Amino acid sequence: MSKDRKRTRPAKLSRRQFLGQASCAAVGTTALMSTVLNMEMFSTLAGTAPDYKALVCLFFSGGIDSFNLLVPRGAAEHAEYAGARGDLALPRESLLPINPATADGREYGLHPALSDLAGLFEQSRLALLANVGTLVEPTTLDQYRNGSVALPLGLFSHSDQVMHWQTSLPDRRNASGWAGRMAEILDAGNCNPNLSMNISLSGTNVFQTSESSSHYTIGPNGSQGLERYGANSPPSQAFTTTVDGLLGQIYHNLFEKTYATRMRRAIDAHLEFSAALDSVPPLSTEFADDDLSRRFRMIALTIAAREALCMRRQTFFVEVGGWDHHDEVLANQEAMLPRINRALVDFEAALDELGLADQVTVFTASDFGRTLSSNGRGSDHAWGGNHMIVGGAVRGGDLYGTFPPLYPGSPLDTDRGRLIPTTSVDQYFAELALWFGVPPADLELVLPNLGRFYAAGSSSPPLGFLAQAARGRAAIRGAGRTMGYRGTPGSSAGHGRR
Amino acid sequence: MISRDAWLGSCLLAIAAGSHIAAATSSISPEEAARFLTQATLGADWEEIQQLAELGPETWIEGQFERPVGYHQPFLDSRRKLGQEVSAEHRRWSWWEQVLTGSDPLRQRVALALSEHFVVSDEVGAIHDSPEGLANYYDMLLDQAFGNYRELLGAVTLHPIMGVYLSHLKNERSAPGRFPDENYAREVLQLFSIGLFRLRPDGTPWLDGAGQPIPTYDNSDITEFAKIFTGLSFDSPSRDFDEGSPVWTAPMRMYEEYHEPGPKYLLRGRFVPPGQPGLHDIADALDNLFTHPNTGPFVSRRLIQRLVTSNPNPAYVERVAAAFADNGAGVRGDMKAVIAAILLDPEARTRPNSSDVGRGMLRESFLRRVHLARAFNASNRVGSWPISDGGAPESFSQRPLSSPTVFNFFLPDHRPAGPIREAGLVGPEFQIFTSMTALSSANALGVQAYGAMNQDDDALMEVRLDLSDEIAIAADARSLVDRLDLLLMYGSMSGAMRQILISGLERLETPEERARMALHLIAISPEYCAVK
Repeated sequence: MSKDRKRTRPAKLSRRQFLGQASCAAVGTTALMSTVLNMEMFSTLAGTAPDYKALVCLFFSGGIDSFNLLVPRGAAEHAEYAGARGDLALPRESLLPINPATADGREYGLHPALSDLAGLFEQSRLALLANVGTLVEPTTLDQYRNGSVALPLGLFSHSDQVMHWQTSLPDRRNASGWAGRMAEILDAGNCNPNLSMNISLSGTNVFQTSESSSHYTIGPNGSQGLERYGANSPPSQAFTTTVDGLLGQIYHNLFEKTYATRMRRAIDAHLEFSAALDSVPPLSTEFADDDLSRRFRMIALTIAAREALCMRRQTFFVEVGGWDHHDEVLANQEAMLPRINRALVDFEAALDELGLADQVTVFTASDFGRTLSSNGRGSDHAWGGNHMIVGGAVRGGDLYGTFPPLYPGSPLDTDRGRLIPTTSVDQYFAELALWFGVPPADLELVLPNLGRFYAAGSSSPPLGFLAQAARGRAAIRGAGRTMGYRGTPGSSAGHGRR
Repeated sequence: MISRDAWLGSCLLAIAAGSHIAAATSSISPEEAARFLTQATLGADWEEIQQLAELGPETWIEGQFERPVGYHQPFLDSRRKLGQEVSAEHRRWSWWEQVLTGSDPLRQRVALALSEHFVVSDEVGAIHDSPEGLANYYDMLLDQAFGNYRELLGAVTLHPIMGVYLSHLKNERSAPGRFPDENYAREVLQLFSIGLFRLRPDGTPWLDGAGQPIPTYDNSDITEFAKIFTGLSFDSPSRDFDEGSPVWTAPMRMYEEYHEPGPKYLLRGRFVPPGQPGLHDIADALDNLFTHPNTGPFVSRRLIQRLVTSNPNPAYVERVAAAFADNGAGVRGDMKAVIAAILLDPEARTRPNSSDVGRGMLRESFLRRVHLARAFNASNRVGSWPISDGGAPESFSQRPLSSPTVFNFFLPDHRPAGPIREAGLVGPEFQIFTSMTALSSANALGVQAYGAMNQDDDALMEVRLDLSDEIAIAADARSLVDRLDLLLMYGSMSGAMRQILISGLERLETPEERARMALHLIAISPEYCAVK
């Protein structure tokens, strides 16, 4: 749904008209100071390259077994991995070697299906983040066991952990999403009062929902319109008038009201969105013909239409399901990961074509990691997992966070190889939010629990995997507060880069 | 199982205890009859509304409990015998035939609600490829809909379709470095019985001193329950746990040598002793869940949300949970008592007053399609219902037995942005009502109103709505709208909506165009889509 602002119909306005409305749109938002600051930020860059940034969340729903995406490759470390994973271990020789810029004494490899992503890693365009997950506060195994720290509510449950990854508030239920909260701060910098900054390619999600507004949802082929509406035949005109009349009533019942609002906005937003997309030339980059690639292609087209849509900041949410591999994890990943590999590398190629590679960052997320140990056919719900960040602004070719020990009974192992995360999602998202343009002073509006893991005013970045251009800092890693696990000999501590 | 007489007595007791309904079998107005049938069925036609008005809800419910079951598997069996193709699409044909023609509309309604509670899905390849198995699972839900929740939980647990969906089929005992699969253990606790947090008898969560909900279990409970659900595989003739041929239409069989030995801890200090047969372990574990104080309020609230309203008052949940706890004859889990308590409760039977703006629910997206089909007796010229619903997952984000996950198409606590969220309420069905599906479903309903429910080169096979009675009166747009108001909206249409519709319809020339567009407009209108 588009955001809760004054609706303007008919929605076909020229770009000039949109730009004229920009200042009006900024007035009356809840975060006025931030808005003013952000307008300044936007305007300082006007006249040169248009300031535009997009964040794309690729969510692996079901809980991806990410300790088979990023695997230790040294002989001893692989043996430790294989011992923990049993029949779920990937053979050492099958792994695609990668060489993180910051040596931590270990060798690593990627799942054999991720060959193009391994290439992006070598091009310093893909970074890896190890053992990240939801935490209410820094947590040690003793604290986990004796109940002396607050744990994420509904830990290990799909629905709850999906929610927590998208709210970054694992100690609350019913919280808004962190992109929704970013929109409350940044959307005013967009000059389009009718369309949300947040666009979902995969239906309703918490990530992009704030208290008052939600995302606009499109599909792999673009936006959806209402047939007959606005057509010229007399019956269609009768239909259009009557629909307008029905949706234009004042409703008091909250279900009627919500329904009417959603229908009205869906009808209007489509007229505007489809016109904007019709105005952009086709991409020459070819995408694969599967559902995920079609969705990434539509994201690229929407980004291409950013000026017609009058957008300077956008988030996109795309979900790919089916990762709850209690059984057949090896065969299923082998079948499913090539689509991820292909969609991401094609998307990067499309961004190159648009000249926007440095302005779009893709990051992955999932319900949780999975047990290192096997149930005989697959793995079960766990906690920390490994993730990928892709884009031209990414300080790629490196591994961030702390890769955990994998042996059973390690200081992170709650049971069965269910690992306590060593980096919190708050740190992960703070890095993304700062890059995206959230002012440091507003960071804790977006990520209220962040202070438990990172000092928002710090001169060091939360994790360092993005080039934070505005602040021109030297990347010094490890500014986050000490986590429960401090590493074993030979494992990585913070390792700076560049 | 209790006798019918014992049940009838208990039902009346439950009614008397929970409500201020007047005489038990009084007739009611057609409007109230239509409103009741909106909750108790997947949609009613004109005659069903008139019959219910004469019988009254109580007598109608009792009659429904006695109706023969409209099973879904026999249609597939007969196709198989005739050497015809049997696929997931044919199972959907059977679903439509029973839903549209069966004499057991209450049972069909409750079974669909149960299929959104005990979720399995033909989005999984093995289930997609086992249409008889999935129909058999649905028939089990139909059978158990008026049975006992404990037996229902047992039948669900042992069904091979659930076994493959939540992967406890062929789940083995532990071995060095290998642990039992936790999938079913987790979801049977979280979704099918007690839920994540301790509940009061009225379904609201107990809170700890910090204002946080109190977990009902921790992960060590999951690993214990995972041991319980080991040793199950197909009841194949070869009695081979690993390699036996799949048998999708019989309960799974216990293979003791694959079942985790030793004691296993249950909740609330109970345990199963070592050495007993695996099926006894499962029975003890399910008893442990069934008798948990959460189960009644947890299940009651979810069923109320499917049938009546998204945000039931806690007192309503408590009344239904009381019927779950005791049907009046000392029986826990009597589904008949639960269903009667849900549908006959004053909160279900009285219309909200205008200030009660949070009452009601969004109609499930796909159920608008089913409602129109039932209200206008969708049929083709050869008496079959070859409706495949191939586009439904896209158009409606919903199709029976095709949920994307075990969490159903939408979450029971989904809070849509805007006034519902701001009021602290939930609106589960809005989770699949996006700017995409709001309009793709509206378009699909237009196709249904103007055209056929299926695509078939043979016009004889096209399933269409029968709008002859509406077309006959459509020259007078007022009469048309009044009829549809009763038939589809139980007489709840506002004066403003009525006037807008009449003005629009009077611009159309032919009665048929009027009838069809009226149907489409109502089906996408705010007042119709919000059931109150």
